[in-house]
Amino acid sequence: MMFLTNPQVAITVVEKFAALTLFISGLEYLTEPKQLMDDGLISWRIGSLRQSWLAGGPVGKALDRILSYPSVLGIIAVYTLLAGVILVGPPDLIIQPWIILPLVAALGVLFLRSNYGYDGADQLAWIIFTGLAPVSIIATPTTQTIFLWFVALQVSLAYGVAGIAKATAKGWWNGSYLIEILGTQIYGRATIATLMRRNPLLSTLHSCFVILWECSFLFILFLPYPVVLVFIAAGVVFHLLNAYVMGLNTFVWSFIAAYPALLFCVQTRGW
Amino acid sequence: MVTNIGEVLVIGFFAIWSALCIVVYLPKINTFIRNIDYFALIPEWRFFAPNPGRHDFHLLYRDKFADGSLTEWTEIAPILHRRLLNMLYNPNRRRNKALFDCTQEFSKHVNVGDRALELAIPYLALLNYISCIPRSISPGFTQFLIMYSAGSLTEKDPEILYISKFHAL
Repeated sequence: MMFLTNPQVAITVVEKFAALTLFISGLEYLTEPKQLMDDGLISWRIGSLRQSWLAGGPVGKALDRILSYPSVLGIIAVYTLLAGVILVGPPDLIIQPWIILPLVAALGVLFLRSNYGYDGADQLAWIIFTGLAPVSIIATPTTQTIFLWFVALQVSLAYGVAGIAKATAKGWWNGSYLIEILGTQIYGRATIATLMRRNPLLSTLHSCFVILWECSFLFILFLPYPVVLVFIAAGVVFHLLNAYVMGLNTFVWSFIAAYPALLFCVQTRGW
Repeated sequence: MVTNIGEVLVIGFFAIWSALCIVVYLPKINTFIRNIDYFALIPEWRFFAPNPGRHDFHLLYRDKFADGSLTEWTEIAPILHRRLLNMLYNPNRRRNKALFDCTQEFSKHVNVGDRALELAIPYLALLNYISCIPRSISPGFTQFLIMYSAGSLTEKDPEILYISKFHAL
């Protein structure tokens, strides 16, 4: 069954999943803001010292007004609210520049604040919305199609490069790295790590599957549509497992956000 | 089909951005791009590869009073307990990730023998963080310690990576 062959429909689905990432992320910041305070690990007082132009001068002073605590909560509230509007809004509304541009501006200044606490889910959602900014201004089928190809390229690169990198490490092929990651406090679960250690074949098979699945994304835009559907279904399961085992909750939505772009490209590629 | 100048500009924008996202993986160009990518628009997707973080870093601190007496080391532990709900909503991950990023970046400075370590951002971030922790008694000085361990699957004791000097509070 073919679906998501209309660029505007595909963009709407991409946008809603990416918005869900930001909505959850924004609520997480707003309910646990302590790390954003001056005495937190994501403090602007320290983060601004990374560059002289952030710490002083006219740009630094302007940023200080909006990125210091508690002003930064306003920025986060703005992007959370806009993400909420995108989540529930109709397709014609959520591609409007007056929705996308303030959202991109809010996210952009937040990325200037600190290098700590962000993850790949934040970055992919940020890239999706930054890419949508010019498309919201010049919204034609051509620009929408180019945007969807760009998002498809991002997800293809994301998994593909990670897969190639894993394939160069013996510890990934034999499953030992997976067991060790699962044994850490921050990304692990002791019960699953213990299960894997007692059944090393399980860990090896799991690791090999991840390597081959990730590497396949380098070629996904050239694969037959039914095969792509299988790889995407595997991706959904992969991210749900990571959310449970590793606590990577927003990766589910930010990477699923890219899948409609893949489906659009594969169905409309013309070869 | 491209019909106007606006579309040409958008296509050029995505062409340049896509090219940068590919060439960032070339070592010679990587450093240049990393130095100017203030807005994190050029990602480097690795996902725990090729060498994943297989250690837990532990941040501890202790205080010194005016009479020279010391407190015990206290660990600032990540918030570890995850429930099923955290698959959807996980507010503690920011603190844990920030602590992880900071200690991991700090360990890189230590491992390369950074002679200006005390001016490095992760050093300042950790010092600022432990200095601002509320205390019931006001000490004169504090210091921090970074240790690393091999997670829950080993009986080995954690090893010390770095002990800071005492800093006035």
